[in-house]
Amino acid sequence: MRFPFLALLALVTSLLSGCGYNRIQTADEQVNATWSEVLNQYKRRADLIPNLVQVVQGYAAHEKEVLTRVTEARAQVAGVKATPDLVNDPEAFARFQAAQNQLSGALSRLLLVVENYPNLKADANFRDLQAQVEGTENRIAVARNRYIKAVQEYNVTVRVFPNNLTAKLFGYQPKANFTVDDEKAMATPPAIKFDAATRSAPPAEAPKPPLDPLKQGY
Amino acid sequence: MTGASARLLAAFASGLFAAGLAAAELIAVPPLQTRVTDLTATLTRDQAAVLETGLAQLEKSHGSQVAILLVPSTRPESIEAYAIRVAEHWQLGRQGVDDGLLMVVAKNDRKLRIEVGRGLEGAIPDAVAKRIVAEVIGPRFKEGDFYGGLQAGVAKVQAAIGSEALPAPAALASTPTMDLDTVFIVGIVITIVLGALMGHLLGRLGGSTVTAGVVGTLAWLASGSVPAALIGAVLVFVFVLAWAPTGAGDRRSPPRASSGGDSRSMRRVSSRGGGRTARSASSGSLSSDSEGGGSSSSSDSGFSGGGGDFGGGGASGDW
Repeated sequence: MRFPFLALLALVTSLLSGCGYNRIQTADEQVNATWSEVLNQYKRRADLIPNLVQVVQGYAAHEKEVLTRVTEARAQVAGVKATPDLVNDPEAFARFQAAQNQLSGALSRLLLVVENYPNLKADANFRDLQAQVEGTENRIAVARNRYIKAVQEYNVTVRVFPNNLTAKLFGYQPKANFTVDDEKAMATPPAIKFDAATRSAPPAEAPKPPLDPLKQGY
Repeated sequence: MTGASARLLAAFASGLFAAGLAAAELIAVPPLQTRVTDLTATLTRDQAAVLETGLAQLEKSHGSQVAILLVPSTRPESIEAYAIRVAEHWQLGRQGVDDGLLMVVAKNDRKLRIEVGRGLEGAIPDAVAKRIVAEVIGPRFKEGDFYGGLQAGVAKVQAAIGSEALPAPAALASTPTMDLDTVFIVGIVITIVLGALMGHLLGRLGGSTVTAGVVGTLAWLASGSVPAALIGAVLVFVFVLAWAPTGAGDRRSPPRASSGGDSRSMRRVSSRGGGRTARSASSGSLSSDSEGGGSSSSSDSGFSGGGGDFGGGGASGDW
């Protein structure tokens, strides 16, 4: 009878898949995939900016300061190397975030200034670009939320027993996530509708309460 | 009055559906039952039915799933956050094609959003969605003509989807997916138990063939991949052949030479039997699969999402 051997084999198999190695792999890949999507959408936004700046320049050339700031912020974003490895390097991750946040701020300033130019707002080309920027900001928010969830899942996976032993053995570290500050900024995307009273306020301090992405129950 | 009843309905839906998921203060995602979900009692039954028929027609001809949701308000969330939450729950559009589209109207907020599935972002880019919102639907809503606005919006969406080359409808049967770990472990257990049992009953060759057939079929059903199932079946066959206990099948005829003949004939019989069960099982599952897919997508009662993915594309506006 070879039952003892079979039982042993079954035990070994279940142990192998029970040590969490496969789970870590799945979670890790999920983080990578969602991070790629975040990068993708940030890139999409950066690609829209030259066109946007050009169109705005045509109507509002003397808003030089705002336009320059957007262009500079975009250059800075391009300067930070956006690689998939970023998630494993907290410092570079923070730098990347800072650059992207600066661009978000500059961009929302630009879209606020635009409110003063009815001709620009009526321009079909500008309206299309504006729709694309809005859509892309929303895509970024969605991608970031999904990334946050994936990292949470991954971090829990590598921290619980016995996965933590496996993780240590294979060198899987907890990954960097977006901080709450970032989410505050993200919850107030460049709003297009602002009345004159709030125009002077910096967009990052808009009074809208930030939505906690972790509580949105997706 | 209508607001209160809608809130009641929403509360009921939340109890049914996403109570554990959504935080208490957020508006719950209503269950997807029809293509037009009106929690504000804005549309008459006939109007909803007309919209519904049009959308069903669209799915029949192009495969794309379009749904409309009217809620009183999305507060405290923005309409964007609420719409993507609904889209993720409802999973409109075919899996892999991601050709779903969701129109959300927050009546009391006077806000409107078209959420476009990933596969439709080419047919309906943000700029087009924005134009539909701002130039087609918005003006009609401003006049209080919700039905007319939705109808005109749907017509534009239909035209845009119609001009896009999408896979033919009902081309994709949904394949059930299971956790790989589970499949693996269940497969091992079945192999051991069935291998031992069949080894006893049919002898080594017969037992391993039947076991391999059964496990292979199950693996195919679980993973939806034929090569993986074949490899699994071969592995199981070799494994059981090598390690299964010798049992009744061999014991029945003590002399060794005739036992070999016995098991060979047994193998032929059992392999044919195994093959037949596998084939009939597979064809049965195939037909039931396609039936399921057809009925879930084409019949008007009981509408459900096809597993499409949304990436946050689309446009919002107000009126």
